[in-house]
Amino acid sequence: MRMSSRTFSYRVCAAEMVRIPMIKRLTTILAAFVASSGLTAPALTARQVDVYILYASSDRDAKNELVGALPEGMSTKSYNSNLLALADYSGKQRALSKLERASVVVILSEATLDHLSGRLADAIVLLVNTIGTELTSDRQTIHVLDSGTDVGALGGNMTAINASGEADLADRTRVEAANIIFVNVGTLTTYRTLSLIIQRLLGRQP
Amino acid sequence: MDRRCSRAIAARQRKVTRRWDRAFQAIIGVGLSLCVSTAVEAQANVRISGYGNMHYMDHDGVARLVGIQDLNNGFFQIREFSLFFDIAITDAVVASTEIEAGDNGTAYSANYAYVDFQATANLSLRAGKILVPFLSYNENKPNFKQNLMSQPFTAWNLAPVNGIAIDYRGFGWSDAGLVANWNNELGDWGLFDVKFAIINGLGSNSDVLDENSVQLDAGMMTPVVRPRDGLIQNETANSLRDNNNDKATVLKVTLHPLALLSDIGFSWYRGKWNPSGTRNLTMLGVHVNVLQPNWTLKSEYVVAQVEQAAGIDPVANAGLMGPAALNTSTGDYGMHAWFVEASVIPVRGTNDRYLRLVGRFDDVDTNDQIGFTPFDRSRVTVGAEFQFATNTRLRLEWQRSVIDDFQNAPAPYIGAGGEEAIKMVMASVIFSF
Repeated sequence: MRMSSRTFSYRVCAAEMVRIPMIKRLTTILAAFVASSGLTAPALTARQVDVYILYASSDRDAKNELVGALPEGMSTKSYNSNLLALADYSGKQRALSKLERASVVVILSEATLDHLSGRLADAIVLLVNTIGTELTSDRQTIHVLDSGTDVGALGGNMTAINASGEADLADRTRVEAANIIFVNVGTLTTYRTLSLIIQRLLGRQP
Repeated sequence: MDRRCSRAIAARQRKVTRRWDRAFQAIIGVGLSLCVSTAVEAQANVRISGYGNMHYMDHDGVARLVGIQDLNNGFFQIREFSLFFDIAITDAVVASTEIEAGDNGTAYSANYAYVDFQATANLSLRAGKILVPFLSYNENKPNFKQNLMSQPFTAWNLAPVNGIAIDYRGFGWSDAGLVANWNNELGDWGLFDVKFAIINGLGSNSDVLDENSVQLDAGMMTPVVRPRDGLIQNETANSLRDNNNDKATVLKVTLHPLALLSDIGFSWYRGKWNPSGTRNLTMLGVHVNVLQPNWTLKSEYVVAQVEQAAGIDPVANAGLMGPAALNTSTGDYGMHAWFVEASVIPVRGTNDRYLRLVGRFDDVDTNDQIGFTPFDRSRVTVGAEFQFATNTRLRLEWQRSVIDDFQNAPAPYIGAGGEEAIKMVMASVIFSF
C-alpha cells in the first residue's frame, strides 16, 4: 500500500529531526565530560597515598620489609604487578591511574616491570636495583642501585651520586633534581635507606 | 523528500543548532576556565592512551550476499582506532572507558565504560558496561595485545561477537552489569584470581536464538537462509538491555603459576536467552596462556548448550522465501570452538625491533544438529609480525578455512560462489600509545 504524501513527509521529517539533537546531545555529553575533568581536578589532585609500592610476587618479602621500615603515619599502598597478567586489557591503564595518585611510586625489581609500562606525570618514580626504563616519571625518576651496577643502559640525563652513609644520602636527595642514581648504597638490606630517601622526597625529616 | 519537509527540517535544524551550540559553549567555557587553572593537575589524573590499525584484506571463496559487501573484493579498512580514558576519582575509585572508532571511522562505540572500586587489597567491584570475563581472548582482544589480527573462532562465534559473524564484524563481548574480582597470593607458587559477573546476558527477541538471516546472491536464485553464525547479543544489543527478567551469571577462575609464566583458567556462563525466560544457554570454557619473552603459546576451548524448541522457521514466519530444511530450528543443540596458537621471536634488533612468526589452528561448529552451516569449519592461519619502531608493527597473515560437510551445501550457496575452502590474506599496520 502506498503511503499518502502527508504521512510520508511526516515520517521522513521525524526521522531527520531526531538525528540532530542526538548528535548535539552526544557532543554536549563529551563536553560535559571534559568540563567535569576541570571541575573535579582540585579534589583529584589531593594526594591520598604517600607511597605506592609496586612489587612482583618474587619481591613480596622485600615489600614487607620496606613497609615495616616506613614510619608510622605514612600512607602506604601496595600492588602485586603479576595480577596484571590476569587483568583485562583495561587493567594496565587503570593501574597507572592509581599510581598517579601517590606522591612516590616505588618499583622493587626488574620483574615488577614485566607487565607494566608507561609514564607518570606527577608521581616520583623510585626504582630499586632496577635499570629498566619501562615506567618513568615526567617529574622525577630515581634509580637506587647497588655499587658495581652497569648503568650504561640508562643513558640520558642521569646524575650519579655515591652516597657514603645515611646522613650523606639524606642530604643529597633532592626533589627538584631531574634524575639521580645512588650508587654504593650498602645499607639497602635493611630498607632503612629507602625509607630515608622516601621521607626526604616527601619533605619529612627522619 | 518534499519541499515542505526540507523547509521544516532546515528551520528545526537552525533552532536546535543554536540551542545546543549555546549549551555546548557554556559548558565548554565553564570547563575550560576551570581546566586552565588546574591544567597540570587535571593532566595528572586523566590518563589517555590507545591503539589503532589499518589493514588490507582479501578473501576468496566466500559466498556472495545480497546487500552485503562482497568480501572476495579486496578492501582497505581502519578496523579500530581506540582511545582509553582512565580517571582516578580517588585512589580507590577509577572510572574507565574505551571509545572506539570502527569500520573506517563510521561506527563509534564504548567497548567498556565502568567505574571500578577497590574495596580491599584483594577485592574490587565494577559496575557499568564491562568486558565479560569469559575465557582469555575476550578480555585481551585489542590486536596490539595479540599476535594476529584475525580473531579465533572461540571469540568470533562463541564468546561471542557483538555483531554478525557472517558479515565479518566483531567487536568483542561487552555487556552491562556488575563484576566482583577477588584474588589471592598463593605463597611463592603464584596467584589465584576469581571474577564473578552478573550481566543482562545473551538473548534473542524471538524463540530462535540464532535467528539472523542473510540472502544468498546466486544470480536468479536469492533465497534467504540462516547462516547459524554463532551466538550474538540480543537485538536490543545497541542499548544492551535485557530481553527477559533473568540475569546471566559468569564465573572465571584463573591460576597464575609464576614458574611457568602462564595462566590457566576456567570460565562458565549461564543465562536464559528467550523473551519468556524459559530456555537456558550454558557455556563452559578453559584457556591456557604461556607468555615467555621470546615465545608464546595460547589456547582456548569452549562448548555451549542451547535449549530451543524445534520446528520453528523464523524466515518463513517473516514471510521470506528460503529452504525450510536449513532454516527450521533443530531443537536443543550444542556448539563448540577451540584454537591453539604459537608464536616465536627468532630475531630481535635495537630500538624494540623484532620479527615474530605465528601459527594458529582453530575449529568451530555452531550447531551440531544441522546438516550444513558454513560455520562448521576448521582453519589454519600463519603470519609474521615485524615491529619496526616502538609499539608500531606490520603484520602479514594468510588463512585457509575448510568447511565441513560441504557435500550438504545447498545449490544456492555454491551458486553464490561459496567454496569448500575459503582463503584470506591480510596486511596490517598496528600502533599503540
